[in-house]
Amino acid sequence: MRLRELEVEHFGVFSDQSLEFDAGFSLVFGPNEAGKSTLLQLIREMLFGFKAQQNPYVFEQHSGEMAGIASFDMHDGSQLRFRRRKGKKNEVVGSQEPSGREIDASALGQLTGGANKELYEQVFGFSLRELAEADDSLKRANLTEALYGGGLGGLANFQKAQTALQAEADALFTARGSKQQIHQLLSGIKRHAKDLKEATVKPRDFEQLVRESSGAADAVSALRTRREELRTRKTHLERLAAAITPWLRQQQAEAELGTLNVPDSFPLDGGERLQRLKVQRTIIANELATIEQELIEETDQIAALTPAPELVAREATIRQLEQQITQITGYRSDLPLRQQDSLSIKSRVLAKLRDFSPDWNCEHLERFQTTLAQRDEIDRLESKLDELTQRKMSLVAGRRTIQADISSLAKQLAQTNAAEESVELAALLERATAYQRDVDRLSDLQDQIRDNKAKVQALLAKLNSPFEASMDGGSALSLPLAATVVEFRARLKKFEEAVDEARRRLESARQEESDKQEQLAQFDARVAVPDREQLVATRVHRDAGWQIVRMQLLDPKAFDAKAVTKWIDNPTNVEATTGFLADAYEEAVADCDKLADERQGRAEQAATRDQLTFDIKRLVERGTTLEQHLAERLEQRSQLASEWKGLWSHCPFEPVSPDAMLDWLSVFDEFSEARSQLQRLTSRVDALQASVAEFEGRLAASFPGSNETPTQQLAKAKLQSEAAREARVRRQAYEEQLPEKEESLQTIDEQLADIEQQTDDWQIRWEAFLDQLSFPREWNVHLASKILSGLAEARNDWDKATDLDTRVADMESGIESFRQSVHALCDELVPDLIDFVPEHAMDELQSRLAKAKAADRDQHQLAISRDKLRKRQQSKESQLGGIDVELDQLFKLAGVDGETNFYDIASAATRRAELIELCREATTEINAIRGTTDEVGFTQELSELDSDSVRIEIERITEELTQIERDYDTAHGRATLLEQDRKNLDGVSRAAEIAVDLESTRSQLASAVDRWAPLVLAQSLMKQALKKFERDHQPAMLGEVERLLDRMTLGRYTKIERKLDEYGTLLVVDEQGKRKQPHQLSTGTREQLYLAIRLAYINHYCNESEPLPIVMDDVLVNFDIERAKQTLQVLAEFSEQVQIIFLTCHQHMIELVSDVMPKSKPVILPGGKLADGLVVASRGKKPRSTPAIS
Amino acid sequence: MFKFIHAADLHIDSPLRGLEAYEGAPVERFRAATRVAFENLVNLAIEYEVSFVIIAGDLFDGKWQDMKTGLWTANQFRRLDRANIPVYILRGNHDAASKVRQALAWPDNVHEFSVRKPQTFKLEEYDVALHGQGFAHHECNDDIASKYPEAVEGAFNIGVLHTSLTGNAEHDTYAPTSESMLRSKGYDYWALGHIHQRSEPPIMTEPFVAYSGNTQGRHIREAGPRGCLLNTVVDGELTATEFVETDTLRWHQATVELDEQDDIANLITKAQRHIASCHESSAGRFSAIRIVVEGACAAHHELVQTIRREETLTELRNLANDFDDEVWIEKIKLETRPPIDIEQLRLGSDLVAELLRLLDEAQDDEVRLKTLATDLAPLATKAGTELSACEIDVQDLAQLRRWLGQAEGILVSQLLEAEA
Repeated sequence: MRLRELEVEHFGVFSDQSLEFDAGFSLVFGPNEAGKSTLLQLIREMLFGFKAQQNPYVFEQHSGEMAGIASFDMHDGSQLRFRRRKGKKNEVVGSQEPSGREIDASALGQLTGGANKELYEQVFGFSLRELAEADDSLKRANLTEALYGGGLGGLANFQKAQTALQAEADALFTARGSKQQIHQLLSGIKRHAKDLKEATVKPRDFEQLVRESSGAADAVSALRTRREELRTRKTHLERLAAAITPWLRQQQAEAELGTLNVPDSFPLDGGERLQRLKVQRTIIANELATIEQELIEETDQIAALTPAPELVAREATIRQLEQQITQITGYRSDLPLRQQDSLSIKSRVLAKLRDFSPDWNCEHLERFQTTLAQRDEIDRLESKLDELTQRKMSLVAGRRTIQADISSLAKQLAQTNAAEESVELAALLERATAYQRDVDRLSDLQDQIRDNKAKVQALLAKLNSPFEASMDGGSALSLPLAATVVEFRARLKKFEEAVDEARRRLESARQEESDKQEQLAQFDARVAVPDREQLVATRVHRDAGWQIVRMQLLDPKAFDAKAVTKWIDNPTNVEATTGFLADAYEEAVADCDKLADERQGRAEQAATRDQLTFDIKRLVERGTTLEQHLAERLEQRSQLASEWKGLWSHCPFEPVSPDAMLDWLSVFDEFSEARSQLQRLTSRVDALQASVAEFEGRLAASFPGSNETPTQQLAKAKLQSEAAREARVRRQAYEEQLPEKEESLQTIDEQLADIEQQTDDWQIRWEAFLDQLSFPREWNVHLASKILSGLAEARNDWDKATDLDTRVADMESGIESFRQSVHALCDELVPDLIDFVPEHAMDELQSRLAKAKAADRDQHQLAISRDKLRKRQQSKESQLGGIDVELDQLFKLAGVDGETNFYDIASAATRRAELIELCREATTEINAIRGTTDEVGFTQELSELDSDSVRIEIERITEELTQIERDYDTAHGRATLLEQDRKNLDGVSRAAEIAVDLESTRSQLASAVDRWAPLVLAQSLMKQALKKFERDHQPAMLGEVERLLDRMTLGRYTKIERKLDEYGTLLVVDEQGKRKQPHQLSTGTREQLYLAIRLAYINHYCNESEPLPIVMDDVLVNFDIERAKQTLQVLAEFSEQVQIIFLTCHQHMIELVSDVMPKSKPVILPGGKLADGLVVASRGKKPRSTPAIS
Repeated sequence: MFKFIHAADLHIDSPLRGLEAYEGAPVERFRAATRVAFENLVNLAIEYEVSFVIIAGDLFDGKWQDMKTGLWTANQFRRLDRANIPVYILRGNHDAASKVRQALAWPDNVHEFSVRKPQTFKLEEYDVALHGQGFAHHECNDDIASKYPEAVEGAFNIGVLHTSLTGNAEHDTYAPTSESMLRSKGYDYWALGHIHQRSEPPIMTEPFVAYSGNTQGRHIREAGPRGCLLNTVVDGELTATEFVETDTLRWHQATVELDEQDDIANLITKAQRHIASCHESSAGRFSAIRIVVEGACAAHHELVQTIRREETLTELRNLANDFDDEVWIEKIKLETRPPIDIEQLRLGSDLVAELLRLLDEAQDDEVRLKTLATDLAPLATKAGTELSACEIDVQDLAQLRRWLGQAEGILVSQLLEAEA
């Protein structure tokens, strides 16, 4: 696409600016700050959108929208024109011709081939800086990628993918690594394999083990046998050694036994027994003597005692009487007190009875005796009566209150008159709010109407008088649209300007012509130079003469005199001779020569004059053309003027200037708006007024004859309505209360009747009760109750007095009875006490009884004691006899008759017993030592034993045994270990476990390799693909770069190569075939190289997508003139394919460009001042046309 | 009537292969798998009170040198001895080299066929004649069967032979022989060993010729039930042959086929279903499941990213946790492809298309494949032995092709994912 025109509304320094560009190469000149970079940015943003936020090109002084209109020639020949504004909606509006396709932002995106701002910035828009940083910018712009061969498929992705694959593969395995997964797995495998080898019990090892194990077991067994032998022998010897001592002891004892002579029947303890019997005998004899003494003493004691059996026989009677003493003493003190109490109670009761009735005595106590039931009955009757009386009283009081309420309610009801509520007033009141609102709004609206009318009047005044008449009915007026007027204004202005221009140019041409004429006149006046025409005419005349002369000489017959006549000016000389002709010819030749000589002599003047004459002629022609042009313009203007008038033909007036008419139209719009507003208001006011009037009419009708204002009436109506409502509510309440009260009254009456009935019932019950008790009928219930309770109390007291009398009698009889008993007893037992007070007599008797009893008890005890003593005496005597018998027997056993010999025998017997015991103990000891050894053999051995040799043998055996124990332990330990090893072999195979781990690690290795290998292969393939792709695609691009650089450097650098390293470093080959890297080139050449690459890339890009305009910013400043020219030449050619907009601030570039491209017209930015002082455009105004210089 | 068991290829204590020990994996469960399988066999013999047991070779692995294995095995034979069940063993190609075997003294009930010439054991009690000859060496290319004696008249004749028969692509050739040779001997039953896959149906029924298969599958290529043949002979006639499963761990390959829209979540869900169904078919056994994820799917892009792939692998392995250590995820192979029309891409003119075309050409061109494989050489140099132990050959064309296929998936994802 090629940018042809750019109309800037607002963007940076640009405001209402229009720029046109060449379809090929455009040089844009502007000094610094003139807006070159703004233009670059503008073109970029026009294509790809204004930067939405913080756009530095939004200048505050511009109130207008950031926008522009761009026109492009598209690659396919269509034209694209669109307006772009800064915003979010409809930012692009335009169309593509001739298809008429509407263009919005997305359609524009499609047309630019999906390029974006960044790509454009990096590829199509560049300055020297970008060229200088070529390496970086190349990379950013994907140029490297392009050099690899087309950006499709994304080399960046490719490289990223390569890196990613490499990283993953390297994490798994690298040739020199050790930490990577595969390496670790490998070392794991090695470790496991080693472990496996170690854990494996090899068959050879096993056989060895079996052999060793059984050998060890045999050794253990042999040692065990030998050890057992030794142990047995040692035990035996030790037993023998141990048994020697007791054996010798036994032998000795047996020998002694043989020497002792004791009868076999002699008891071993004979001596002791004799001694013991003798001691016993002495003790018993002593005891017998003591017992006899005691017997004598006790007999004496019994004889001293004096018993009184008659007293003891009567002990019970005495005790009984004695117990009564306390009681009798009490009686004697209580008796007078009780007699006095009885008398006092009786007199009180009688007094009480007399209180009830003066003639009542204690007989009445019995007469009015009542039962408990009867007492209850009278209590019930009494309380019932009280209850009835109470209830009746409360009901009567209640009834009175209700009656008072009823009469009060009735009175109030009568007073509350039935004030009628007016339906009409209620309806009015309902609408009162709406009415009030209407009134307020009416007032508002009337104010608005007033204002509006004033406005309409003011506006009407603004519309000039010629139109005034028609304005009232102006709604039907058909007026042109403001836009149309604006358009006309623009067109009129344009035509006006065209006419002015044409006129100005005509005047200028005329002025120039007259100036030239004057110069010619001055020239002619100053210098006389033969006219060129004159010379030509003379030469023509001469040549014509020569023809005639020639004819005459060659063919005299054919000589045409007329021709001669015609040739010679003077017709009279027609008949002249040939001589004359010759002369005349010669003269003509001479004239001619003379003129020529003359002109030759003044050639410079002649040329000047010729030039002046030519100029005048040209100016005259131009004047004519310009006149025609002016006439055309005038004609066009008048046509437009009539069109303008035609536009207003429907209006009853003639239009004035479009500006005035625009103002008028705007006033008219305002006026129309105000007028229709007025109409709307008026109709609203009418409606409101009608509504208000209707309401007020109804209100007035409700208050006939009143001359109050509607507001007062409304307030009154409100008051009335409220009063009526209150009365209604009250009355309703009264009416509801009254029946309730009457009902209550009735209920109370019913209850009263019920109570009366109950009272009657009670009376009947009461009378029946009186009859039942034969009480006088005149007693009321309270009296009866009181008397009955009084009587009950008196009866109680009387009973108490009677009880007391009884007790007094009992006490007197008790005292008498006691005295008689005591008397009788004394008479019988102790007549000396008969005259004593009974109580004292009893005391004495008692003491005498105690003494008699003690004597009795002593006698009895002494008798028992004497019997016991006698029995003991007998027993001891028989014991004594037994001991004597025993002693006799003992002597008989010893075969002696006396004590003296007996003791010798007894001592021999004791010794024998000791020896026998000694033997037994020794035998037991020997048996214990011997154990299970054969007794005969053992005894035999003992009898033959040499104790020393035994001890020596034991020592020897002990030594040997110690050694064997040690050997055995060692051998056993070894055998156990070997056996354990063997047993272990039957258990779980550790090797099998490790083998599983090994397999598992191998499996992991397989998985890791399975992952690694495809990654490596993938990388390998990528490298191959890249190489191939480079091979297939590289030459085209590089060839293009080569070609361009060759052209730019005039063949100094002929070839470009790319190193096949990963950066694709460029190499430039010069005429001599030397290869240089870019940094080895001069700045200018390097910039040329990068420019060439960029152009090649753009070319490459444009093969695939819509070409976008290239904007270069002064990229040639580092080039010398020749180089710059060559480069411009290349650019010129390149611009045939892709538009180039070349920005510069260097004036010499204009000259250079015009040298290379004479047809190119530079675009001068506002403020761009050329050397000759021509300011081509100024800010703030739309230029009339594209400024150009030739 | 009597019963006997025909088993072979126990390879006791030779490790199960291909299991990756990830964290929390129930390693113990399968360490003893071959032993448990043999125990099951012994239990079976005792339970059914069989008259004898035939083991047609490869009781042990030749390379396996751990005596514990032999001792343990001898103990199992002792159990049979206590039940008065004799065992007839034939040395197979693995046994021949087994030093374990040579160092062992078998209990009295174990009878081993001679390795020098065919030997016949006669069981008078059942009127059975067992003929067989073991391998004296690791290799045996002779037709041993041809030298077997003629059938014993009136007896139930059983030929015991470790053979690859006429050959099998997956097994090396051992003691080759033909079906007609077997038939010519006039035996009633040929108890064959060596081929781990049970012959189902039997190779022939008159006489009955079959491989019992191995007692426990040892790697993913030995998937499915494994066990022995329990045979019943009535009046000298084979009346029933029942295959009885002895394996304790069963191998499954679950191929999860993903559709274009399937993402990782779908992958997990589908895998879960597969695992459940595989484990169900293990009938209460421990299951070792290989999950192979295939298909052009949305999940592919994510699986290309190292972290995401590791996460997914962990998540897939964790699926086993739902089965209380009863399931082992043996290996997970993510062989997904991007949901992109690669054919379309191949037709393009850009670098990616160039790449894909190159890849295609390499697939078909052995020379190019080998050239590509040179990039793998450093690994082969570093770990050649270990690689061959893992059955990886970086020069193997099929292997290379498979890797190339995976490389394609990786490349397309890497290149197009970055673009997206």
